Amino acid sequence: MTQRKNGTGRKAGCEKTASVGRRNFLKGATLAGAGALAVPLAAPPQAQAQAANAPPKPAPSIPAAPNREAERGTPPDHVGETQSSSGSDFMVDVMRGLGIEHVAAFVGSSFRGLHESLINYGMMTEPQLDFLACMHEEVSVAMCHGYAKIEGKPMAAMMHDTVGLQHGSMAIYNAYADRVPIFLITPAAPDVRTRRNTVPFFHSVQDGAAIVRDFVKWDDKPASLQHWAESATRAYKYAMTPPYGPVLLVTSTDMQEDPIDDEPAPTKPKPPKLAPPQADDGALREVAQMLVNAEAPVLACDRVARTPAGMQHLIELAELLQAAVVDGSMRMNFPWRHPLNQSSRGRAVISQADLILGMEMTDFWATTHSFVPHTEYSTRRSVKPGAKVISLTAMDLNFHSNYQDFQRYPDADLALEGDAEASLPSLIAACRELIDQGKKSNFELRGKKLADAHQKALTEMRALAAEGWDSQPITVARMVMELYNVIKDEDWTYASGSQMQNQWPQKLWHADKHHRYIGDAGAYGIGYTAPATLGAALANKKHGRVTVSINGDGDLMCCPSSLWTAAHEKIPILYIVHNNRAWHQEIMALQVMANRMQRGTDRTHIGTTIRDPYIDYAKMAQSMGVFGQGPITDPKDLEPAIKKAVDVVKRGEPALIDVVAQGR
Amino acid sequence: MKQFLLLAAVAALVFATPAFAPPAFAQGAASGDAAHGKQLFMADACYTCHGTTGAGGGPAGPALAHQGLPAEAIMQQLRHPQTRMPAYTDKILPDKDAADIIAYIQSLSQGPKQNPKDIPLLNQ
Repeated sequence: MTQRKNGTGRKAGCEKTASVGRRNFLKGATLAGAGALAVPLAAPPQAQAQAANAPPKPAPSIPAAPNREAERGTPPDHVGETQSSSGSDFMVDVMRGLGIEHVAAFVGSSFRGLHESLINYGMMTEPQLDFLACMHEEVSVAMCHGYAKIEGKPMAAMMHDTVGLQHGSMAIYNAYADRVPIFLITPAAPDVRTRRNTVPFFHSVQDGAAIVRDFVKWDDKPASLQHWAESATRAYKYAMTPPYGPVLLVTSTDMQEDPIDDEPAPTKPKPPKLAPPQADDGALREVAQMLVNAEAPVLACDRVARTPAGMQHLIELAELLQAAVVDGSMRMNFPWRHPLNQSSRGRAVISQADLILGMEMTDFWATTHSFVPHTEYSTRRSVKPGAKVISLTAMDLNFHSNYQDFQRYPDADLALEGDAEASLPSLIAACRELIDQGKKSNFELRGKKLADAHQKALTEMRALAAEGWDSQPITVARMVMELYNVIKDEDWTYASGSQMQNQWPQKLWHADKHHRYIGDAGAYGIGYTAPATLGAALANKKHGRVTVSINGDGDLMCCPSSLWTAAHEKIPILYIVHNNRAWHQEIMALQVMANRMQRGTDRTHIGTTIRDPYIDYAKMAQSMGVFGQGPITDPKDLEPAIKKAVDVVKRGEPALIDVVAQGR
Repeated sequence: MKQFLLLAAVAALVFATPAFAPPAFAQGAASGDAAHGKQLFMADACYTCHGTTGAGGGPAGPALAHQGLPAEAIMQQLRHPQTRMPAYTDKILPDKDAADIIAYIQSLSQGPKQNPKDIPLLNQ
């Protein structure tokens, strides 16, 4: 541990006057309070004279803190107590030992110990552990979500006990459903004697993790610092073992604040080097045999590429087999313009396949089934009779019962439990052994047909994108392509999802690096985009990448304070507000009901549109210190606005452009 | 939400499916008032899925402009949609208004179609 070069803070364990345990101190709290009140009477004569000559002070409109406490009949805080160590300093050391670099939090007194340790110790000594200021726990957690998908490791979020965790819960569920590692901390004050006043009782709970236990991978409530260190390391191990997921440590407020007087002193376990679970070798050889013998195999994928290596493995397998790839775009699994990428015509490819290997699929059933038109619930299998369906996923290794994110049962012929990225090298090797020259020739023919189909689909998509090119409101395709045109020569990340943008980036952009795209919210919880893409931008900052985010207007208004955090923490990101002035999907859903009831769609704007008044997002951004432009209504104004904003981002600051655009 | 999206994806295919637009109807033209139809197109929320210029919205709603859609097929889709698109019965959309909307939709095919090859941003 070294002192930060330019820091002005104290070193670990530096000068303090006394080492008095907080619990011991509390025993004499009443006496100490009385002593504190007596201090003015004991002031030296010189001080009394100065006080007499000073102008009169205005009466405080709000009583000073000790008086407020006295008025409530509760004891004052521990004025004058000092100590030379704290449990929270040790926790900071444990976290940075695990490679955690940032802690995001909306301030809360229940973690004041950790907060103080972070700002005066973690941020002032190397390796730094930064505190990031947020205005809502949903922002803190979602930032961790986006960060992990770029950086491949967790950052931490602290949430005030009970109410803070309740705020953060939806973002935790998003991360859980998206299989993303996050290190979460929420405090607890289990001892009534140490709850300072009325409020902590409202925030105290017997089982703090209970409200999110269904959608965290693991939680614990350590009873000592040694326990905390071991559980933090265990939590990191679980979070970072596929399927990834958020983990939570309920952390005693007293344990944070008290001096370290444990005997023996707590020690940190060494961070483990982790090996992900690979599917059974024999089963992989069986899959290889089926793949090599198939005439029209399809490689379907949602979250295969946890790391850049995963994408390279999938490219290698697809090219070896010259097989079609249908990418559900939950990650950057496969290059968007690779000739074998058949995602734009996924339904057609699936329906013609004789073998479908689904890897880390969110909803594999929906890949192999479709709904019968104009019915609510009738479905049909959309694959050929006799086609084989194989699943390869680690997701089954961590399902909980209550939340139904497991989807419909996929009814696979062969189900392999194991992480796809970790299993692909063995599968590739097994396939390679089975491919002779005759098969190679057949595969090449198949690959040429797929390349032609890819090009044809691209031409069709371009024709669709051209429709209404100059119209107002601006088409989503135009907005997306104007953005790409400006950033394409940068090292960029498109950090937002694209479902609400008709997946135009996947259809029309070149993207061949793992950090180009990171998927979407996971559980479709609205409010993800602004803070999660900010987390991605935080991770990208040290890599010098340009992070862009197309943020729906409705989504942005769930967590608008993300903009303040972007400005305050100087995180470079370009937000394009896809301003369709509505929660657009919900208009369509409401229209279905209104017409089913034969009442018409005249009033379906009520509760589904963002008008009367329109929101000026540029002004909103400016009010929080973000460079804001717009509303842009003429497509010709897009290019100069985006260029100007990208210049701002490249200077290291956030920018926002409000674009009034079509619904989709 | 996901279920809705899946159904919407099916909806996107319908207008593009030859079986839905039999050749016998291919030249069917509407006799309605396109200007009034445009007002209804916006007011009756057609634009939310199909875009204000009929450019389409992906899975939410297919493109209507420059698709050469016959009047009979559009009317059939309005009254008895083969997708998750809500049905517009004559109670909420009288025949006259439906004809006006159809006239507007067909007018979207009359102007020159933008050639994507003429748009540099679409050729990179």
